[in-house]
Amino acid sequence: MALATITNLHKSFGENTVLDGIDLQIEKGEIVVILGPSGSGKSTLLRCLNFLETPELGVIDIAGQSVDAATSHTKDILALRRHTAFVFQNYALFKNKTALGNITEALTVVKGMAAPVAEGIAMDILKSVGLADRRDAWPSELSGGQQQRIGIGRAMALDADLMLFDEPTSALDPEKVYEVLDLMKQLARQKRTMIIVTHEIPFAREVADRIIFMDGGKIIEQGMPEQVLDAPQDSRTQTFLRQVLS
Amino acid sequence: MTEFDFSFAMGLLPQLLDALPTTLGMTLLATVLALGLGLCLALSQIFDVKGLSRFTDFYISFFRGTPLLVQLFLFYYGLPQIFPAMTSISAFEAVTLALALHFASYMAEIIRAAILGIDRSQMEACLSVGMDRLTAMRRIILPQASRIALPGLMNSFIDLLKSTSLAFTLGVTEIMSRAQLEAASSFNFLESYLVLALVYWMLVIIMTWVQKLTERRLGEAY
Repeated sequence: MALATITNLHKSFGENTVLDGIDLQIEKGEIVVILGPSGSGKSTLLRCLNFLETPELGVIDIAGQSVDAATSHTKDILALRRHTAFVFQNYALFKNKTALGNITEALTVVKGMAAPVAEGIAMDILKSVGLADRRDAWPSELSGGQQQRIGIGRAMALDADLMLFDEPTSALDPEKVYEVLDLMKQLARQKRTMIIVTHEIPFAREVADRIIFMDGGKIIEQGMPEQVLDAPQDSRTQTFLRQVLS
Repeated sequence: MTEFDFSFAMGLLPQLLDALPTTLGMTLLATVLALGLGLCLALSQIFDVKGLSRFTDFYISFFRGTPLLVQLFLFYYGLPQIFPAMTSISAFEAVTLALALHFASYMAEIIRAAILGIDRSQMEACLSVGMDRLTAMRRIILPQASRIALPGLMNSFIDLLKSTSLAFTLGVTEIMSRAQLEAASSFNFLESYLVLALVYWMLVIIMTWVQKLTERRLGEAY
């Protein structure tokens, strides 16, 4: 059985339809990369999965927690969110917390861990993202790449069933992109279940089990990386790839 | 024209300091109450609590829209006519409550604006790690908003301290009423009110100094 099942998801902003009936299944341990032109709805899809945006219609089921958008309750949405972790394009680190505090915050406040236990976990994570020496730094003292590695660390600490990445490298200076991608490859090797919205095509080819191409709020085509990237069937996919690869 | 009477001025100071606890008591009590109420009002608007946010609009409109002195008189002389239980309220309590209700309306607006000034991605980050909105407010949003709100809240705090001088109209023996009493019985008006002004000024200078320290502490993360 799939880890996550999305059924008939619809979302619009005013007159503008952004998601036009998305159906999607994600297997446990699968790494799915979503590609598409800006405005295609890929970020909105990701943000609907944990209800940062509220879809008008559709059912989202993650690890057995099902939420129907039409009849959603705050309690169910909270439970659904706790099966997910999210990495933001602009990092969105807690500005009033240190690097360590950003990772321990949810462990103590949401998961109810004792502070020393949470700090132990957080230090292990800081080591694995290569920032153990920056444990007491404020977000404002960290570079973009370092902030995003903490952002990923914060998501890792939740040990969630499904990790969502919303253009994690788009706000970074080009020379800092690799340090975040390297970290994500490390996660990929651990077989975490991930959905990644990105424009990094070589990265997508390397880590993705499946690539989804979206346009106009719909899934246009999907398949193995070589299938979608090297032999795209739909003209919209072909046009998009020609533009980003040229 | 008479000379400035220094010895009278020096003699008045201990008398004013004698009444100072009353002024400070009203100030601190009213500030704590106003902050608490202001925070509740601000949150009811931010979360758009049904029914409550309309009450909040009305509340803020009334207390910002009418003079404090009028509110004091309404509270102390007017309301006991309808609520007999309020006849037993002391002038000190009436002033403290009226100041709290009045300044809560200003503080609510300052706090609301500060919360709205926090980038919404901070709330989204809280939700994404599984916090509910109230926890997010308490742990992440309000600590950041407090830094933005501090200068405005401090203005209200200073304004509130100075407004306790209106309490003399209800017969509370605070520093204003003590100075007025001494001035009237000695005809040393200049000395009395100058010493009084200096006492208020010194208090505000101390508060400003505390504000600077607090700003530095709240600002260390940024």
